[in-house]
Amino acid sequence: MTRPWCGPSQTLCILIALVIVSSSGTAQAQAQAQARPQAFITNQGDNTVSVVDINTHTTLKTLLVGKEPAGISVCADGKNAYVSNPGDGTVSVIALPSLKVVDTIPVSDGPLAIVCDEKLLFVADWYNNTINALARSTLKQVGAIAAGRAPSGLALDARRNRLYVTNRDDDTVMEIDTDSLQLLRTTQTGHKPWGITLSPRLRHLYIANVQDNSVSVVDASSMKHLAQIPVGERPYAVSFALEGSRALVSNQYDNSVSIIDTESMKVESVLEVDEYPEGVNTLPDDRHVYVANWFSNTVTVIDARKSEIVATIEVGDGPRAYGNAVNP
Amino acid sequence: MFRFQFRSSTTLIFSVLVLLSAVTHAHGPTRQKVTESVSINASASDVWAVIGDFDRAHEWLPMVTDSKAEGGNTKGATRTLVLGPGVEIHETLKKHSDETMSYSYKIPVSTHDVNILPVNNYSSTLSVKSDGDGSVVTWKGAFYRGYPNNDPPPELNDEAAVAAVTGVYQAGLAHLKDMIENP
Repeated sequence: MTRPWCGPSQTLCILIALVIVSSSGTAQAQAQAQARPQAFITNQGDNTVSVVDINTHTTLKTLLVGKEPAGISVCADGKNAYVSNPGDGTVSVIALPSLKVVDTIPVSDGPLAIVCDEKLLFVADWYNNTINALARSTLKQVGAIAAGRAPSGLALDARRNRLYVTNRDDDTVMEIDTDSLQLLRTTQTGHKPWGITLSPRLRHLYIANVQDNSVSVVDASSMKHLAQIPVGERPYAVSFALEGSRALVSNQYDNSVSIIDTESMKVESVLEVDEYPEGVNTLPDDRHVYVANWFSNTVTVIDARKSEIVATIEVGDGPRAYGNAVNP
Repeated sequence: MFRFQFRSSTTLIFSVLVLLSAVTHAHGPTRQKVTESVSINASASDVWAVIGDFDRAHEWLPMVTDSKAEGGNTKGATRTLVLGPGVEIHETLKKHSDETMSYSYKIPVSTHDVNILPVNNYSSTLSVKSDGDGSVVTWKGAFYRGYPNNDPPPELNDEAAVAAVTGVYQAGLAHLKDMIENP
């Protein structure tokens, strides 16, 4: 093995090799470091997104997007965040890590739930009962999936090419193949299912049933409804923490978050947050959780391990952060 | 002022012809919110004595002629605010605390007529806090517009919902202040 730049000194060779490796590694690490420690909080009332530094729990930047932003999806590749704007039927595209709004495109009448995989962006339309699939590279529509009535939540299993959709006015959850864009199976949920999140370990779908104050647990493999867990009033969204052992559920009308032990499928504690909590997002440390309080214009930071509130962040008007709001 | 408002809303009820599907329970995609406050030259506990009972809203809300209530101040208690003959709003108590001097209630969708109040999924909190020698009453509402689908008629859109709730809160709080300060 010849390395012309090594010369006689093995030490120098190693040093040079180290410098080369570490400099390319540093560039990559920098890009990741810039992209990573942020949460994107959609503020419905002032048409902005608050970009929050998740290490310091402070707002870094406020981005102007479309009208009444609600849904958010920060892609797993860390290249983009997409925001649904139901007020004007558009999607705003945020480039990462530059934090620039690079595009705002018309999509449909009432876009709400939104999620991206490596290539596609899925946007559920509340009025038209469809899920539009757009190519991330061109932002052009490449397909549409007929959903149930009032599709309101999306969860993606990118590794298995599966998309799960809650249909609020049908009380169902649908399983969709993201390659063929075909509907595979449909399962009954509780009453008025809204936020849906897939648990990392057991692959259970936790679904907040807004009007019967419960969370449905559906096995994503069998699409069988396993359990219905009573929570607070008007549950909205769910996020998992501590390797999927806990599920945190926002209860809009109770101004609280229920923490479910996913093994026993029982609520083990309830934390009081600010008013009308909506989007729930777990930070990359898998321990701290952001809860957007729509009425109070704040984000509550919960330590899931200690089951306590550790900080409250002021954001814009009407924060929702509905979807995946945090860099993976 | 209230009489005028009430008459105009009655006119609205009978003049607006909106065909809504009786079975739809959907709502617009974005919830609206309203917060109104008033400073009152009386202690918080004196004000709470007037507004604190869920079943006595008719005693201080100008637009309400009568209130039929069941369940007192316990969670799940109900009240019917009578605004006129056959013009009623049905509300349910969610939370009540004499300690924090606040209560929260909602209007269940199943019994609500958007022609009376152009909102859906309405929920609200009324509270009073001490402020110097006096107090501040805050009334907060969260709701969707009256027309659940796309392209709402102007009288059932987001702006109409916010305007209607704002009007009720402002008139109610102004009347309350007047009632307490100028008995």
